[in-house]
Amino acid sequence: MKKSFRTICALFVVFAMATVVLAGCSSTSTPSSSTTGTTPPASTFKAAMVTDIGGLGDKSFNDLSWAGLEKAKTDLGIETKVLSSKSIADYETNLTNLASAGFSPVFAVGFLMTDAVSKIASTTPDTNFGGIDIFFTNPPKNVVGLNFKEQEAGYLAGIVAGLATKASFDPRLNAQNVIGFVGGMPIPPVQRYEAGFVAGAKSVNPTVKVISLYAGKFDDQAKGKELGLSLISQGADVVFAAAGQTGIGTFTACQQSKKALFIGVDTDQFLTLTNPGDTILTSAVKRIDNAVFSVVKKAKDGAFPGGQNLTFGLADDGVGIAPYHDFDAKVPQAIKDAVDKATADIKAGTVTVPETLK
Amino acid sequence: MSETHEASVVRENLWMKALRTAGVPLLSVVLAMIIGSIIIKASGMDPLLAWGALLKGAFGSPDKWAAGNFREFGDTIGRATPLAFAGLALAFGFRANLFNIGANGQLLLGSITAAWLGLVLAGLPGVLSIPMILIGSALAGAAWAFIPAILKAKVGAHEVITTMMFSWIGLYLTSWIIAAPLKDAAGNSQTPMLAQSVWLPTFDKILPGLFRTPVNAHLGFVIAVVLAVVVWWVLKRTTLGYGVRAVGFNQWAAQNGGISIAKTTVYALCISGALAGLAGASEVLGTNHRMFDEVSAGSGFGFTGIAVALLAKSHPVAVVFSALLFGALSAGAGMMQLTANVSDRIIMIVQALIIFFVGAETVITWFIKRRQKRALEEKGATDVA
Amino acid sequence: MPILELRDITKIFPGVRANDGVSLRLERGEIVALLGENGAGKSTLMNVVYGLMAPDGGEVFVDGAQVHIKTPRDAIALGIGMVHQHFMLVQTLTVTENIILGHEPSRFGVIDLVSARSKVSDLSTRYGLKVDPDERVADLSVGMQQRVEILKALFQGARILILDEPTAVLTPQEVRELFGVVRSLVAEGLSVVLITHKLDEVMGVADRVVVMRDGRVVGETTPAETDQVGLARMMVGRDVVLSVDKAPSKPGETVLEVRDLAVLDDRRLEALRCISLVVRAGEVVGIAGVDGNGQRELVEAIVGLRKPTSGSISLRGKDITHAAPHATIHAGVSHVPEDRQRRGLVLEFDLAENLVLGDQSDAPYASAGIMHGRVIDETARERIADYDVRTPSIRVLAGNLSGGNQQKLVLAREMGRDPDLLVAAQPTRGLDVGAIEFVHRRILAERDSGKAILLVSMELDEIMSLSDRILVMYEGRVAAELSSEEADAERIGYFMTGGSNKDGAPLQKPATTVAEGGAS
Repeated sequence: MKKSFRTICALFVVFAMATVVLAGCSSTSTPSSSTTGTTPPASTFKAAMVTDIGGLGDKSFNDLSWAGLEKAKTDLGIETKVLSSKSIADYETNLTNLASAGFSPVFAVGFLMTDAVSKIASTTPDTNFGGIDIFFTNPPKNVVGLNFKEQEAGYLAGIVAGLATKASFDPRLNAQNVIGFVGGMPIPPVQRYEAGFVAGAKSVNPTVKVISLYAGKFDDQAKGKELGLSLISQGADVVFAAAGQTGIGTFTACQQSKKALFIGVDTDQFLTLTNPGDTILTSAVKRIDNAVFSVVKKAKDGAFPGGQNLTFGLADDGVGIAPYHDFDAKVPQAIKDAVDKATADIKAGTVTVPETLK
Repeated sequence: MSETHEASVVRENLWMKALRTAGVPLLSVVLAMIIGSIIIKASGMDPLLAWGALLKGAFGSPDKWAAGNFREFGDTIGRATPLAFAGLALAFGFRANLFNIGANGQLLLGSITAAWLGLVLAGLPGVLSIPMILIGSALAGAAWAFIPAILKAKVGAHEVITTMMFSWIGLYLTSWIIAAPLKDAAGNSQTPMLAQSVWLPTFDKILPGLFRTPVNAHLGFVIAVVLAVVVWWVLKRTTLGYGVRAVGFNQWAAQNGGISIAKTTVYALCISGALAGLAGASEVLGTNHRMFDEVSAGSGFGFTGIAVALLAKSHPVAVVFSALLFGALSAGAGMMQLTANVSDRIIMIVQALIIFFVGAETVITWFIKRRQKRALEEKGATDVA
Repeated sequence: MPILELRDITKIFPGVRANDGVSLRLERGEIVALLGENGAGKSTLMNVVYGLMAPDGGEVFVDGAQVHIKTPRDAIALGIGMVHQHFMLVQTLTVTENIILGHEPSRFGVIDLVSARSKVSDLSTRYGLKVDPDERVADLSVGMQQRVEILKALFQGARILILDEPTAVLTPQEVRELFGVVRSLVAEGLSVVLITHKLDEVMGVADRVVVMRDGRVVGETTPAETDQVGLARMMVGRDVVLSVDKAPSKPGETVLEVRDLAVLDDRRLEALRCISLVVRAGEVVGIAGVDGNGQRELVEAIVGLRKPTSGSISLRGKDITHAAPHATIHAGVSHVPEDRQRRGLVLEFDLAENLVLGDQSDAPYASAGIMHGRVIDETARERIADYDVRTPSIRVLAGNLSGGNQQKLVLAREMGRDPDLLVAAQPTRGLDVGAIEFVHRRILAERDSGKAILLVSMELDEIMSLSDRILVMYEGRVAAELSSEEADAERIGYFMTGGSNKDGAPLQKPATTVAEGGAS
């Protein structure tokens, strides 16, 4: 009894002591939230982002979003900030803290932040929010969803794959006219990549066989490798993986078996994978950096595109296809021309890429 | 003379014990913060600024309080709530000498049950549906602990292995349920949003006079506090609690005293599981109003609960305060990043250090004893002089 | 010049002065008995000498020169050897390997087992410590293992040998042999410190006796100048009644009946083989035997801690063969376990909580799963007063009590329950003379009030003075049943080591070894 009472007291004292001591400290902290220590003028335009639990260094959405903000910092002279999150509980806290520190717009990366953004946006109407890969239902004036036409990037990747499997610029390309797709989970962005990939391949090679496999998760390299090998054994000689970390396993399958070429996803994976030069043909990319930059620019110009969901496509430089890098000399001009033509057609609106498989 | 001598020895032991039980958590927190400060300083940041920001992020500031704005404190309480339930779960297990390391799995089963029952019972008024959901989640957590409990009682399979295995099964089972049968129309990795009728009301809804702006703190915290007292009472005043403690302290003596180790183990692990299940339910009904796939959400409350229970030395009421401390650390971490540019990883280091020092109790008591001994020697020297 | 001299040794533990200015002299070729109750500071003093504890004050001299002994290695280098109460042998190694462990003689970097073995057998013949150097320690009896420990100390060059409670684990015959060995060691010029709390051993073997109480030396004498009663008075500080007066027993109806019981031990080997016995109301039945001959398994089977493989146990005609502990408690069996700290008490519980253990879910202490603190505390206070447990409060944790008070606590609980049968295993193990006297009186008082008592003890004196009938166990069987009149230490000891009831010829090899050891 006594013992328990003392334990409770002790914890209470810890608590109280921390409060008192630190309350003293907090008064010494500068009222400014600036990181440089100087008080910025009130007119300073500040934009920020909150990462998902992947954090910076994910070589994917978080890094790309941050690249967009960094570009805005350089080009537009604004102040930027990034807060990383350890768990979903941090989303709301980080968004609120940034809002109350005067940042606007504040970008939230990833679908899981939908609830947090909607909630905070309603209580802080003076702050603008952007949701990367978030589709808001009835977004308020201070919220914009940034989505991407993955199908258009997938379409270009499909053209490359559909023509390459018929070509012979690399000994790994066989005569079976089969290409493969590996998806992480069957969620809309991945399904859009798949739909575009199939449509693009069929547009240049109507008889091509496209085999699609889903891993069920984004973080299982072993599963990705297994699916890659399965595709290869079914004759696929070009494989496109839209599967996050799982896709790295698929890449490994292609590289180690020496039987297929690989097409990366979201970022130019030639830059992020290890020694990919001999295997990676190109990547279907999402230019989140461009999208973030364009929203920041509009906001700075006083025209924050709130109250809607934006979709960034080829026409907005929101998606695209990465350079061929080490394959640049090998890839026939016919393929490059076909990609260029399709890009022009889509931008012109003469070709519309389907979002779903028919 | 010998009687008074004995009494004084006993009293001295009590003080030693008090110092040990109370002093170690306190010292651990202080030491962890000191080392954290050194790390912050070494990385070129200002520790005082950092801790000040942490405090502001965790508790807010007087001017805000005056305006009835307790957002930060509410954030701390909101984060402490699942930790308090999970801490109670671990503490109850520890009392029976059971390490329910897989509490996270039981928690997830509680979450998914709440996410499902919340949809099914949306039509009922909250006073009916919420208790039903809470009971359902507790049962789900208990059920998830039952098989490891039976394995322990019948064949002696160690609960650290079995509950951990069930934790992984729970993780992927709930992940699949969220991806397939309970998938949200808006997309993957989450269940559909629950109707407001089953939400646990937040403090600003309960006491609008005091909390004039929205806060995250919800009824779940009150339930956790009440439950902490109930758990304390059960341990102290019931035959079940007596058995749990006896088995936990000395199973041989307990067995000799007619207490069934097997039965006590099953009860204790299932109660631990039920408490973990409530942690999941409180998070779903009170905070997220849906369940996120743990694979992508990475909350891991069941694992932090281990630390919470260790810091509280498995005392149920102390668990609440321990949970508040951990809640404050995690709530304030964001502000620390924002204003002091200190990575939130520092907070993880501090948390880890607290656990390290609590675990290193023997080392600390050794230091205390050594100091006492030196004081005694010095006293002896002056006596001689 | 004394070979070992201690001056003003002081050792302080938190709250206790375990040694308070203790001085001691040991002459060459002398046996000094260090006598005292448990907790008097005997072992602490010798641990200081052997370098296991650092003293807080005082000086140690060996051969007249002051020395600072910081580790056992220092002590060994000075020629000090110690045989602990609990042996420190590696069970899987042979005798020779154990003896040379830590001091392996080597040639060209290879352990020289051949010369080690011959050195070991030299030592063993020289001092009459007969033991096979190639036998595995796990296969040796306790007495033999003790010889190995002594040989090990001699091998390391000990001139001063400290024996810490060496007889606690031995049979009477083994004790006699040990003292023979000790005398021959002394004849060879060694000096011996014998730590003990047994008065008869002191009288039998020591040249000089140093008595300690509460961390101080309270007296020094020789066996010629005093007797057991005088030593006991010095030890305890008051007059002690050493012999138990007991009225003749008036056995009533049968309370416990064990029939053809077979039980396996922890290694799933047969520990009890078809044992049968009866305990009647108003009698004490004593079980004698060397440790490990099935006594523990017998007790555990009766109280429900161990499942019998065949046979039956009944209490007042009610079958309790397969009853769990809570059922045997309800049937009227109380159990004073041999290890009070492991089986008897929850050391982290306070006294009141410990006193209700076993009755925790029964009226009047609990109803509907809720415990009644006030009733529990009131009963606890009564029992503590009744059994003279020295404590300032019932809220003190059992772990903070002394051994004697802990045992009184167990007795208070088990007898306070008013059982039909009391199974008491080693009820006085580790207790001092005063506490032993108390426990013995209470056990006889219970007998006289009509309880049936089954007493298991390694102490032959205890068995002989308390029991109305004595059963000697050997290898899981009852080797002999003796009435208290016909039992003496020699007879019991004979049956304990495998002597047969029929022709008096030894049954087993260990007995032969013992005979040889005694002769040499």
